[in-house]
This record gives sequence, structure tokens and C-alpha cells, in this order.
Amino acid sequence: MITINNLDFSYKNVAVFKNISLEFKEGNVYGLLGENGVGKTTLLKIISGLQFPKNGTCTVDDFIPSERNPYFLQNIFYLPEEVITEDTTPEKFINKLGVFYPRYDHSYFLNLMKELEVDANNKFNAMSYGQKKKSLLACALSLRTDYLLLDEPTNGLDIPSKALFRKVILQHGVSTDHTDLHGTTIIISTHQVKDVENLIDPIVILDHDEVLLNATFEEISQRLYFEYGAEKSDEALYSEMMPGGYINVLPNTFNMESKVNVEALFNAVRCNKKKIREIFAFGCEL
Amino acid sequence: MNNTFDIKRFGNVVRRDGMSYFKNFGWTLVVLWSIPVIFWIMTYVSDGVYTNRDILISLLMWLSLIIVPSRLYKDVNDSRKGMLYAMTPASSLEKFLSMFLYCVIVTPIVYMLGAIAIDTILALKPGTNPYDGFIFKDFNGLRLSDLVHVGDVAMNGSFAEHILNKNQALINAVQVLYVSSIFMFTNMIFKKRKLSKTIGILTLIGIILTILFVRIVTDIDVEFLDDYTDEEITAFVNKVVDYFYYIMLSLSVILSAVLLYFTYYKIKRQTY
Repeated sequence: MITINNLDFSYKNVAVFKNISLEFKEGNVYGLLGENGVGKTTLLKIISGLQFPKNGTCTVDDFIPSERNPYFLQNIFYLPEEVITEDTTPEKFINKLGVFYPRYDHSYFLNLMKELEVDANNKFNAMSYGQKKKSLLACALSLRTDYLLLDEPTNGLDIPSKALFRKVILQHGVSTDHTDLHGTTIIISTHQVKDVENLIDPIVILDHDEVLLNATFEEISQRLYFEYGAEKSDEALYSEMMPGGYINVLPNTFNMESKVNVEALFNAVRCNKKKIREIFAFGCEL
Repeated sequence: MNNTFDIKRFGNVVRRDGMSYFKNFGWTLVVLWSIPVIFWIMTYVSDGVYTNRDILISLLMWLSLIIVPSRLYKDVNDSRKGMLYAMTPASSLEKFLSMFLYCVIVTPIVYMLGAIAIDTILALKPGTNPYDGFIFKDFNGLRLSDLVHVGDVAMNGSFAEHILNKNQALINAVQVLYVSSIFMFTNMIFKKRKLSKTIGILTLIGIILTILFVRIVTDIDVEFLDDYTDEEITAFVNKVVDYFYYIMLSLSVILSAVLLYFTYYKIKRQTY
């Protein structure tokens, strides 16, 4: 489990996090959402030990990431948004990297490359941006770490590749019985909420200095009602025009189930920070 | 569970760094190896005799030591390219020791072996040959002091006889360690133009020290020397030179240790 307690972080004098606390439980695929510059990438870097908190603590299982303990590093992999690769092939790249990871599975890597339709023996330099991203995703998944942090993984992928991405992530979730106790915890930081809508659960929405939401789809649908109708509701926390009418996000005072629309949820949370906090803290009676 | 050092993990780091050694440093080695060959050809064409080639090889070996950290580990402190290095599941000590191995031990050995092998091949040429024998029979290189005092008598009589000849291997090792540690450290500090910045700073320090030294020497009142004989003064100067070299040697060891520690510390605490 990843536990963040009263964490402060700033770049020089620019505060990114002020006293945030958060938990990521094992075996889930978390969606980490937030506006530009709220610190999604920074949070992933702190969790993976690439940045150090100024105050507060971050622990992953019993490890402190900033100590960069080799046993901690064996169990976590952070795939950054920007693809930087050596002048080599994915096959050679993963052979060099895989020796450090005790659960690295080469046949799984080859299967993933096949599934993602990328040639493992083609040089990175000769690949398109999307192909590089898919290759690195295959590398990251085949390391079979307990924690996998993906920063904007669908940026630069075409529509079929996005579908393939969702497929391999879902399959990875199913195939991660290697840990005996739990599957891989995946945290996906993204702006492209539609790309990962059916993939992520729970959802964490970050703001500049607080966690606006950390809830499962079940919890969200208990607290909020997503109404798809012809008219805009006056009671809605957020309304958005869509083809054929409106989507209204309402407090679920009537205990009805609805399908969570992540994009509408994100905008509803962004526009009603205080109200959403109250709804999730105390329920809809407020 | 050993968090600090595990021989298998260290082996993996050494293997990983070794796999990129010739890829990142191979061409530099080839260029440095080819310079004596160019000198040989030039001397051959001009029908001359090429002496002091051990000094040229030594000079190039020092050059390889200076260049190697910024070629092999240029990205380790880069905020984007260095992330994979930091995330590699090995301890900071293992990463540092591997860096030390390639920068301080492997590079001078690889360069010297290659250079001596090339030199030997050139020396084998029958007929007119600018080389007058095999270099390994009478190799007198490696010493930084030789590069500074070529043809000079500054070392005669005191430290040269007393220390240099006796502890040459130790002094060579300290010099290699000292030069390497400076460039390993600055490689972790500077993100761009690592070599030029380091050389610039060293030049600046050199100028400042020279100015200070000259001022101190010119401020000394030498009239008291009139009370001493020439032999006494020579003995005194030799003693001062001896102490100076002892101090410089000790200082080199201490500074190397400090710089290496900070290199290790930077590996451990570098953020990305």
C-alpha cells in the first residue's frame, strides 16, 4: 500500500503540495486526474523516489521511496510521459533492464509486443512516438513489479492503440497472481479521461494543494447521480451539453444507480470543490 | 536482505555499464589510440626518430580519464534522461562503485593496454622505423610530474629520488584517483558542458593559487638566508620540497576521498 501523510512539496518557492494525505490500496488501477500543473507527475515521482518530500511522509509498503532501497526499486516502475530511449531495440533494452527485476518475464514481454503490434527488434529511433510508447509499456508491464506508475500513457497513441492499451492493462490485472497476495497496483495519471474510463477504479482527483476526491466508482455512484436527459437541471452540480441533450451531475439524494461519466465527474469536482468534499465526507443529506 | 551491497546486484550494474562502455566511449578511445599513430606516420614521413612517446601516451591516458565520466555517465543527473539510472534496482553504493570501476580502473588500463599494443605493432615494422624499440621495455610515463617537468631538473635530488622512485605506483594511483575524482564529481554537478566548465574552474583555481603563491614568495624576506651556507640552504630547500610533496600527496588523497564521497552522495540524493 502507498501511504502519503501530510506531504508538502515545492519546487524552489513554488508550492505544489501542502499537507496532502492519500492512500493507494493494492491491486487497483487508480486514475490520477487533475488540471495541468497540479502535481500529478510530481506525485508519481515522489512515490517512485525520484523526488523527495519537503515535509511529511510517503511510504510504499514499508519502504521510504526517497531512500531508493534496491528491494523497493525492484517492485516499482515509473513510466514517464516523455519517451526517451537509447539508440537500441526494445529487445536489447529490456534484456539490459530485466536482470534487475526478479519477476521479469521475457516471454510475457514478447507476447505484449506481439499484442501491441510492435517489432521488438526494430530500433527505437526508427519507431513512431506511439510505437515507442507501446514498446516501453510492454517493457514496464513485463517487469511484473507490484507498483506500476504510468504518466499520460495514452498521449500520442492512435485510436486502435488506445484500445490495445486498455486491453493489455486489463489483462495484466487478471494475470498478476504472481504476487500471491495481490495484483499489481497501477496508477495512471492522465488528462485523457475518456481513454481510461473503463479501466480505472478508484479515481483520485488532485488539486493544487489538496486531494479533491479519492473514491471508487461504487462510492461515487452512491454519492452522485449522473443524469442523462434532454434538459439542464437547476440542481445539478455540473451540467454539460452532449449530443441529444445534457449530462447532469447531481447529489444522489434518491439512492439511484447511474453510470459514472469520468469527464463530467472531473468537471463537477473541479467546479464544486467544497460541496463535493462535504458530499463524500458526510453523504448527500447536507 | 542486503540493502547496501549485494555482489549479484553489483555484478548486474557492472554488466549494464560495461555493455554501454564501448558504445559510449569506444570512438573516443579509437581517437585517443590513433593520435600516437598519426605522430608515428608524421615522423616516418619526415624520416625522423620519435622519442618521448611514452609521455604522449601518458598524456592521452590522462585525457581519457578526464573525458570518460562525461561520456559514460553524462545523463545520470539529467532530469529526464537520468530517471532510469536512478530507478535501477541497485543501491547507490553499487552504482557508485561501478562508476568508480569504469572511470578510475578500467579506463586507464584499457587505454594503456591498447596504446602499448598499437605502439608495439608499429615498433615491429622492419626497415626504417621512427621507433627505436619497444615501449614496454623502458616505459617512463604515467607520472603527471613528468608531463610538467619534461626535461627539467626540478625533481632531482630530493623527492624524485627519495619518494617518486620508491613509491611510484602509489603516486600514480593517487594521481589517477585525484584527477578521476574531480571529473566524476563535476560530472554529477554540471548538467551541460561538463568538461569545459570543469576545465574552466580548474584553470581559475590554478590562476588564483599561482597569484597567491607568487605574492607569498615575493613577500618573504630572504635576507636571513645570508646567515646560511649554500649547502644548508640546499638541504633546507630539499626538505621543504619533500614536505611539500608529502602534503600534496596527503591533500590529494583527502580531496579525492571528499570528492568521491560527494559523487556518491549526489548519486544517492539526485532528484529528477
